[in-house]
Amino acid sequence: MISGLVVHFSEDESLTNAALIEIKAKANIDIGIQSERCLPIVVETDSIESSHKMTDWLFELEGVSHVDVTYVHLDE
Amino acid sequence: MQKSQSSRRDFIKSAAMASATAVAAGISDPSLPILSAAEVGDSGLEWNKAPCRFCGTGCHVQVGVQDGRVVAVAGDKNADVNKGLLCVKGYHVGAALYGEDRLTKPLLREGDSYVEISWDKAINIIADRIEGDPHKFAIYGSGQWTIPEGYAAQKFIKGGLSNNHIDPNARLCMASAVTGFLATYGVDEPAGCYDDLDECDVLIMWGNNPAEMHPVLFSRVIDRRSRGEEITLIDIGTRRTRTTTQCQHYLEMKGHGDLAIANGIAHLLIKNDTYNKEFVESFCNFKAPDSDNPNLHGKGISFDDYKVMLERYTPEYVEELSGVPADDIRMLGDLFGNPDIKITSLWCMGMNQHTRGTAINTLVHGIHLLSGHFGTPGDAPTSLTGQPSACGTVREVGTLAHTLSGGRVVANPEHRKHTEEYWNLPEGRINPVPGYHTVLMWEKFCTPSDQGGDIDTIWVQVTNPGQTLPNLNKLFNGKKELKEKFLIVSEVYPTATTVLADLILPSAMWVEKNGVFGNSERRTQQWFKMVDPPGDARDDTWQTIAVAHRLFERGVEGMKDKDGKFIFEVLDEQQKPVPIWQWENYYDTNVDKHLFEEYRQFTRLKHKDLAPYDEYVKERGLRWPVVQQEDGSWKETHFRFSEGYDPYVEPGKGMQFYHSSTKDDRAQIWFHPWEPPAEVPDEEYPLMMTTGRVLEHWHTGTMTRRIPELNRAMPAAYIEMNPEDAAAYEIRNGDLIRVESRRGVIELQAWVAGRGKPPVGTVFIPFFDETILVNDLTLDAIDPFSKQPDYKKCAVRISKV
Repeated sequence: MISGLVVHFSEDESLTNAALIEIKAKANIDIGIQSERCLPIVVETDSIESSHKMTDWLFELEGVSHVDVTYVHLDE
Repeated sequence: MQKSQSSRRDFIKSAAMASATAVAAGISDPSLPILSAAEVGDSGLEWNKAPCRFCGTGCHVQVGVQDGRVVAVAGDKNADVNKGLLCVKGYHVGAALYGEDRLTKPLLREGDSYVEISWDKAINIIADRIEGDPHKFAIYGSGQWTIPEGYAAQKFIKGGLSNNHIDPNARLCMASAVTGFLATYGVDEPAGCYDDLDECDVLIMWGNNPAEMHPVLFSRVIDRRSRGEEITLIDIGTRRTRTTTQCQHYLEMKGHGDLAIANGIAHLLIKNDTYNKEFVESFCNFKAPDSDNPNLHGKGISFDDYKVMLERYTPEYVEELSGVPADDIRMLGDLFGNPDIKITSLWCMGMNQHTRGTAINTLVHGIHLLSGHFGTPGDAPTSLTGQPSACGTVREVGTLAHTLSGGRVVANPEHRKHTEEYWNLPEGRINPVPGYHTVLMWEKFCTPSDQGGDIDTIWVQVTNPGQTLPNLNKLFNGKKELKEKFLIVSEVYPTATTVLADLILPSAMWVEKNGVFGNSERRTQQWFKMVDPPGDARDDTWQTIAVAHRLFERGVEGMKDKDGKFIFEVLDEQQKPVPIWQWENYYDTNVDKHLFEEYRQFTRLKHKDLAPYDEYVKERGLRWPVVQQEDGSWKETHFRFSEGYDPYVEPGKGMQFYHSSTKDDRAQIWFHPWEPPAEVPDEEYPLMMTTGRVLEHWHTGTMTRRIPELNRAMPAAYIEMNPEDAAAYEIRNGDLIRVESRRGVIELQAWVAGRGKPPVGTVFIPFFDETILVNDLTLDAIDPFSKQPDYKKCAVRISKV
């Protein structure tokens, strides 16, 4: 399961940095080039359910204000 | 082989990153699909565009097909609506085709079970029922019908059977928005569009939860914040939701408090002398309800009358009625009184599913008009729809029981004449008497024939009334005991409606057929069939045409035009009829295109002009009126009634409401008094219950509950309670609760302080779960003008099981 997501960071710089560190620590997340407060990422999981859990985890990070989905491949 | 899989995976990952990067950077890249030609070859995927199947937002997706199966979905960066984004439902839209229990054969009830029958037999059964008594036959359709599907159904019944008993489920979701627009501007549908979300300084959501119900639109606003723009978000609602968490202001109101709040804002605009005098004097009249002769257009009043009517709606009185603090009413009054900011209002079911739905719709239009926050980008009152083609197929095609295509009505002789001419029908074919609206249609169906129940057959297409009608024990379940009644259901999956069906017809879905939708912002969107439907499932349009042709073969006069030809005749290039009523020939031509081009003729009367079908093939939708330019190109319209944007506004007018009900190019500013809900809590039923949707499921869950991941994330309905109420009843999370209203009873688990947070005295139950039907409890009280029921307010009592 491969998804393209956009993570929106909050205005608080220290919270954003903390969130970024946690995101970078995940082995199944590829990080793209950040544009202002928006970070493109690719998440690879073994099921759609795990992908959901990962999206929920991102939502719950204190420095993250929102997560958008831009792409999903259903059969990977 | 290993290497090939690895490079395919790398390719998919790079495509996913490209799409996310483009959205993050705000790149408007004209090349979608996001794959180069070489990559497409490597991937084996064929990409094409389609609007999403779910809500009324109208996001465009790119659909990746491999070996006859949808395997990938991407947000479409070329689409103005979603700019490459998808929500969690759009994310899974492809999987909605592949539930394990797709209906694949026509099924006829025999006792308590079903037997497979041929399509030919199914078509004969329907034709027999109609011939038995054409005026006791009804069609119950949908805002999920494509435009050609709805157009074919209404031509068949209104033009073919001289019967107006056709109504769509959109009666249940946006009929009050329609009457609100008609009463204010004389013509339906929003003046503004989603561009307002990109331009407004203040966004007010009236009983609206776009973070969960229209997530991509909400993302457009949140994206602005992420880029450093300042925007004030105000949530006026009856419970805290995910939308509330993003808002600077949450104004928690009692049911029907919105009527008082809107009047309070108007009161302050006048009291503070901050209303826009020039706008009002140039472009507006005043109206109030006519109690002697209740009607949609009321009676004209003077500005002084209007002032007097508003006099009592002081912030303190509004606080008493609505529960919203007087200071917050003043805050709203100050915002509307500020000409230097831009204000957009959004609403959906909260204002529409309301026994004073027409009133609150007109009041919100009224405060925008009174304050002059209207007619420029960012200043707009905008209703949203819940279904993908509630606007296109219901409001524009005219599939309501009283309407004809292009804003016409059956009661108007001129409108009937136009329609008969376009359809080449003999004069007088169309019945001038409106058919039964949804609640009445189902009430008649569930009433014994010898007691006035004069609907004996209903054909349901693309909707699930067994779950969505209010007060189900009265309006749906009564059918079970009435052997003379016959229910036909065209569906893709078994549903709460097919449970009582006598005949089930398997239908094609979304990209298994050609289609055209019309979204909430007047945008018409086309797509082509990409994969085959399973088994013997067939297009709904074909089903309608096949039945019509069977009646034609039997000599039924109504299926002939005035030259004796079949009313759905399609000619090929040699001017020979294409036998589109035979499934094997249906795709010999593009039936959608033929129907759309015929329908397009109707769209000029109310300046809802559509472009030729082929223009939509090239675009990710166009917003009507779409007007041809001198160079032959077609141009869409972003904002109606406003000079410089709307091609139909005469030069020098500035603002022109050219379909004004008072024939003077003016809009109507209405006064309506606050009135209580149809049912309020009392000693016997002490809690107010409201219903709605959840993020994971779309409407009745017939599609999203077939997607295991979404169903696991939200497997069952629940009753959401305030912790104080839960403590008073000694209820904890997970306890089984019995919920009773005067109309029914259900049992379900409690969720205390869950995702949404209702105030003390209120409970919330979602309607997606066909095993726990909250509409056994709801009220079938309707708005007097729109005939739309109120699903948001009824009294219940609870007890632990």
